Amino acid sequence: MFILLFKKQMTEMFRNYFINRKTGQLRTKPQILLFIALFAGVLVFVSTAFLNIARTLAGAIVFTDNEWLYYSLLGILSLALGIFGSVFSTYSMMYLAKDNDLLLSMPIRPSTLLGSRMASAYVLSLIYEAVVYIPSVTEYLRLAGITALNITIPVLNLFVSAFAVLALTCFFGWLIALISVRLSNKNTITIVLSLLFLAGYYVMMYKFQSVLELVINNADSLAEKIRRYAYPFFLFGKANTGDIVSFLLFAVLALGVFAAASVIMSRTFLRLATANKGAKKKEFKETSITAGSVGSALFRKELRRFTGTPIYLLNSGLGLFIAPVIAVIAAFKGRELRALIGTQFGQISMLIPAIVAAAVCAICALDNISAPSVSLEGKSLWVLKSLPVKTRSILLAKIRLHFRLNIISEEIAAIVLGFAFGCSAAETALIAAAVAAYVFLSACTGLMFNLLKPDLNWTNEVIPVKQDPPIIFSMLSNFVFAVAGVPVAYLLSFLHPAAGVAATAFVYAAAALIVFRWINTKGVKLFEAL
Amino acid sequence: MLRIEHLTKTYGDKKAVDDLSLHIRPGEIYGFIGHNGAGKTTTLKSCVGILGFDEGEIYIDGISIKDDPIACKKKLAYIPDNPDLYDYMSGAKYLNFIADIFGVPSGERRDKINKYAGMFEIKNDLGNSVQSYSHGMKQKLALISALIHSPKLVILDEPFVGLDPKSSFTLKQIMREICEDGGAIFFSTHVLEVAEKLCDKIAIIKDGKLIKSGSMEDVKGDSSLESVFLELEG
Repeated sequence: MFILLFKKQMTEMFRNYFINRKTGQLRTKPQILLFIALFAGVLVFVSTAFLNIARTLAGAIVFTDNEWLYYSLLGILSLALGIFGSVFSTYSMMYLAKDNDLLLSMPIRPSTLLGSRMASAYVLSLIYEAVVYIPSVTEYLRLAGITALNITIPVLNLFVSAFAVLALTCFFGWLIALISVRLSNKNTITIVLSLLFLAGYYVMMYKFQSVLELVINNADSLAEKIRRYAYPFFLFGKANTGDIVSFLLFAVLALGVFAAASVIMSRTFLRLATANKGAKKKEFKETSITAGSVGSALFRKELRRFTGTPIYLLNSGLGLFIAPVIAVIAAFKGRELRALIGTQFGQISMLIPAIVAAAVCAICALDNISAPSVSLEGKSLWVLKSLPVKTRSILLAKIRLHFRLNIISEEIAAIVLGFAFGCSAAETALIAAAVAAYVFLSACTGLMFNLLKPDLNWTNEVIPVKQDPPIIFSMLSNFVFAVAGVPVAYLLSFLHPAAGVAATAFVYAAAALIVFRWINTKGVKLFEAL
Repeated sequence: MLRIEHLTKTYGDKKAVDDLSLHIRPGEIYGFIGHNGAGKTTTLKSCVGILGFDEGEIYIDGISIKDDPIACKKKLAYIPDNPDLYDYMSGAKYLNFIADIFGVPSGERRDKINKYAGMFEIKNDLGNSVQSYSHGMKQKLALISALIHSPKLVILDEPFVGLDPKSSFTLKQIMREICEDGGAIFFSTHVLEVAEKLCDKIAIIKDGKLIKSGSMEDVKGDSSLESVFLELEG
C-alpha cells in the first residue's frame, strides 16, 4: 500500500514530465528527456551560486585543523535551504491535499498515508539539499583529493541528512497546521509568518558576504562554538571528511529526530488533516451585496483568488513585497550607493540606467501571478465557461491582476532606484517606461505559457503554483528578459547611456503586444477548448 | 425555449451524442434520463456552451449557441452534477460575483438572495467561506446563483443529489414556479420517481442516441417510468 501511495505522490509531483496533460498520453522519449534536462538545468544554475560560496569557504578552511567546519557551515546552509524550499509544500502536501478525505475513507492506515506523503516530502528535501550539497562535496574533493571514505560517506550522508531536513520541515509544517486549525484568519497569519520567515532569509543572504568574511576570520572560535553548542553540525562536518564514527553518530541522531517527528505527526495527522477548514463563522451582512461591472467582478475574483491562497500569493507575488523594501533601502542609502558607483563601477557607469532597469525587472521576475492563473481555475472552470462573458474579458482580468499589482510597487522601486543611483530625470523616466513594458510583457508571457500548458486536474495547489511547466517557463523567460537589457545597453552605449534602456523598453513593449495579440486570438481559442 | 437539432459530439472515435434532437417549450419541465455515460452531461454541457460539438445546432430562445454564445448564456442558468465553486470566496461574495456578471441591480439581487437563501435555509452561512460548505450547501449556493438573474431556461445536471428532503421539495416548487412564469427546465436525473412526478416531458438517451421522448403519458403509458426505462435500456 505504501509503495502504491508513494507512486501516486510521485506521479502527481512529476507527471508533467511524463504525461501530456492536454491529451493524457505519455510523452515521447525526447520530450521526457527535454523536460528532465530543463529541470536539471535549473538545479545546476542554482547550484553554481553555491559553488562560489563553497570555493570561498574551502579555500580558507579545508587545509586547516578545522576542515570539518567547511562541511558544517555548508550543512547549515543546505538545512536552511531545504526547510525554506519545502516547508510550505510539505504543509500543503500533508494537510491540504484534496484527496485526503477520499484516501482516509479507504482501508488505508492514516500512518501509511502520512508515510507516503512524508516520503515524497523526503524526495523534495533531498533535491533542495542536493543543490548546496553536491557543489560543496565537489569543491572539497577537488581540493583535498579523493579517498574511499571522503567520497562514500558524503554520498551516504546526503541521504541520511535529508532525513534530518525532512524532520525539521515536517515539524514546521505540523506547527503551521496546528496554528491554522486554531486561527480564524489563518490566511493572513500564514502570509505574515511566511513573510517574516522570508525576510529573515533575505537579511541573511544580504549579510552573507560579511558573514562569510567574519566566519573565515574567526574560524577557530566558530569551530569551538559549533562543537560546543551545535554538536550535530560538528558530527555532520566531521563525518563528511571521512570519519566513520562521526557518521554513525550523526546517522543515529538524524534518524532519531526523524523518528520522533514521525511519531508526533502520526498522532495528530488525522485530526489536523480532517479539521474543519472553515474555522470561525462569519455573519452575513446584506450591505456587502453591491453591484459592480463585469470587468471589475472578474478582476475582484482574480484578486480574491490571489490574496485568499497563501501559497499562490507567496510563490507568485514575492516581488511585490521585495520591491518596496528595496526602494526604501535605496532611498535611505542613496548617498552610499552613489559613492559605491564612483569607486567600484567607474568603468561601467554608463550602464547604470540599464543595470537599474534590469534589477527592478529581476525583482518583478519573481512575480508569476498570471502563469498559474488558468490552471488554478481547476474543477471550477465550468463557472466561467457557463457565464455570459467573453473569453477575452476573462483572460484580460488575469493580465490586469498581474499588471496592476506589479506596476505600482515596481514603478516606485524604479524611480527611487533610478535617482538613488544618480540617473537623470530623463534616464529615470526611461527606466520606468522599460519596467512598465516589462511588467506587461511578463503578465502576457505567463498567461501564454499557462494557456499552452494548462493543468486543471491538480489535487493540490502547490502543483500549478510551484511545479507545473508554465511556472518554470515563466520564471526562466522573466529572468532572461530582465537581464537582456544590459548587453543591449552595452552595445548601444556608444550612442547614449540611456539608449539601451530606450531600446529595451521598445523591445519589451513590442514583444508584449505580440504576445497580447496571440492571447486575444489563439489564446482565446485554447481557453475555450479547455 | 431550447431546440436541439441533430446534435452530434464525439470524443476521439467515440460518439458521445449521436444525432440527438429535442425541443423544450416555455412552461415545460423536461426530464433527461439514461444510464451512466449515456451522454446526458455531454448534451447538457453542449446546451450551455461549455462544450463545443461536431454537428447539429442548439438554439436558446431562437438564438444559436454557436453564433452568439453570450446572448444565449444570458438567458440560461446551469448547475453541474458536482458544483465545484470558488472555495476562496464567501457564499455572499460568490453570489455577488454571479450577479455582477449578469448585471443584476443591487436591490434586486438583495431581494433574490434573501428570498432563495431563506428558502434553502442557508442565509446564516453566506458569510462563510465556500470551502467550509458541505456538498449540499454548495448545491444550494449553486442553485441560488442560478436563480439570481431570473433565467428563462434552467439546465440542471442531477440537481437533487446532496439536497436534504426539504430543500428537494423547495427546488421542485421553484422549478414549477419558473415554468408557470414562462420559463423552462431541462434536467437530468437518475431518480425516476422524481422525474415521473415532476416532469411534463421526458427523454431517454442510450449510448448517445435518443431512444424515446415525448410527454410523460406518451412515454410510459400505463406502466411506471421505471419499468419503461428498464425495458428500453435492455
